[in-house]
Amino acid sequence: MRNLCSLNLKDYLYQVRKGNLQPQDVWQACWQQRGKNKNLNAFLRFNDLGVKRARLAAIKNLPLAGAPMAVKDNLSTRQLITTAGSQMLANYHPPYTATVVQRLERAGAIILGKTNCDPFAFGASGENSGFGPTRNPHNFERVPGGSSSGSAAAVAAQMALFALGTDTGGSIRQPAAFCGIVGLKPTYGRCSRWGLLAMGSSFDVPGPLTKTVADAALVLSFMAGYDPRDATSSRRPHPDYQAFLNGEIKNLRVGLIKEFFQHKLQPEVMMAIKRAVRFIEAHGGKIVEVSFPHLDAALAVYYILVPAEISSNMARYDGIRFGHQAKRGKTALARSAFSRGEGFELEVKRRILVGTYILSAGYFDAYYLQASKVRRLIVNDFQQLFKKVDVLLTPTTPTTAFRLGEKISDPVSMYLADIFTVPASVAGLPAISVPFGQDKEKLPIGLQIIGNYFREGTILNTAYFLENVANA
Amino acid sequence: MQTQAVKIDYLAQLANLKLSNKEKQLLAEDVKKILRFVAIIKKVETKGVAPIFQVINRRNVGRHDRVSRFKQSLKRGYFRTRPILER
Repeated sequence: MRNLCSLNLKDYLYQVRKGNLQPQDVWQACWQQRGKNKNLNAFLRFNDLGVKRARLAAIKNLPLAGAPMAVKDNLSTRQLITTAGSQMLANYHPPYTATVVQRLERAGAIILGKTNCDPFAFGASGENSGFGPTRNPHNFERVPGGSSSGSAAAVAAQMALFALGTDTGGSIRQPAAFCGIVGLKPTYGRCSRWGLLAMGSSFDVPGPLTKTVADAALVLSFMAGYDPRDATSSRRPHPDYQAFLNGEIKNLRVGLIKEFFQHKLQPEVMMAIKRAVRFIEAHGGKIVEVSFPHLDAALAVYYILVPAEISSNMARYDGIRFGHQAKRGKTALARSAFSRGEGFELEVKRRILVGTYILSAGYFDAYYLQASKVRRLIVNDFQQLFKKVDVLLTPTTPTTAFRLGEKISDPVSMYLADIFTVPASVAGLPAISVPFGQDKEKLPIGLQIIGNYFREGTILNTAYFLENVANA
Repeated sequence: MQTQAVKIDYLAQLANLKLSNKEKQLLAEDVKKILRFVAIIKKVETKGVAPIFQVINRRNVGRHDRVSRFKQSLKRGYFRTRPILER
């Protein structure tokens, strides 16, 4: 019997349209697959109505034909509890569904379940969730990456045909790299944030995690577009991203940022980059060495501005309007402080405190304002680079997936795992991670392609090329 | 800008967070470490650089406030709203 869970989205749609496959058969297969993979802790809850919906004949006529999708638990879903991976929201029923989820549902996808993540998407390892850590399907002793840990693990373990994640500083790309799948962060504003539980509002972007680049192009085509309910979403029309996928890279100018290679890289990751460069040159692409002087400052900008936005965004979880309510505290304010102390996980508290410090009187100019100025310098740096090159090629991460617990006690060491994903986030640029080989321990390596604003088509096609040569 | 001067009790009070003593000890160290790490930002020359608050040149569109009639929901000069706290 065919392993239906191993199908990618495009193959699934082809087989359903030909009448060789019924959506409910794949649903049943994914359902069984999640039973076999309970130890991964990838899902927080399942959509019991999903199988029934998949049986409806009408679904087959919609573009996504009942495809089972996993949704990160910081995206609001009206019919399913949404916790954002935090005990603070353990019983939160959102009154509405996030725009990006709605759009995929209208196209015929069905929510299989909500996936585990670091609380409120704060984390780079998937270990901080209030509902226990997610594990890497390639090696249970390794982290799956974060914060979209459950979404990446669910797709890699073939429990869903595709998943939705959110990316603030690398939360789609890094887990995609660690789990050996494709992860796309669109341009800031390309996909609506309405219904996304905010972390860093000027950074957050929802995006797809998929088995192939073609699937990422397909899913993005349904997710993208202006949303009047999100003032930061772009009115620029979006193309059908699948039309960009021809694998042709002749005369494509590919930039290699020299500062990225001055950081300590795992030897196999370095070898993967060199191998990709050889393929690009052999197929007519041009490699251009470029400089990005503010690389180290980019990480500092991120870890100033994002905690500042976090401390503001987290203020709404006061135990009155939202979230866990403590039984202690004699006044409303004291009860709220207990509610927040009991409901938030340690990483959430850490980031709120840093953000509160940064925004406090006397430090605002030195930290927040200065970081906002450096952010402009970084945006300018990238605009200069994109005059010389079409895309930038980098490793997604300096190493393959690290061990569970290895960095959990040292926040700075954990933050450095984001060094290559953060710059694109600071500038709001689109970037994609594509699997490109494995290390000695058979752990996946991911390569990142960064493009200019709204050039998702170009980075998808470059990733499509790399995917083809990696599998050749 | 003395990052050593992190007073965790005061910060927790500003953030409206009740922390245990163990958390205070751990988080004070972590906050110091993080602030030392991001202090690199001070070395970047930004004279004459305007701050940026969002990256894709979206313009904030405001509207003029409109005052509606709330006569019925006024009591002694205050607006009446539904209670949000239970006794």
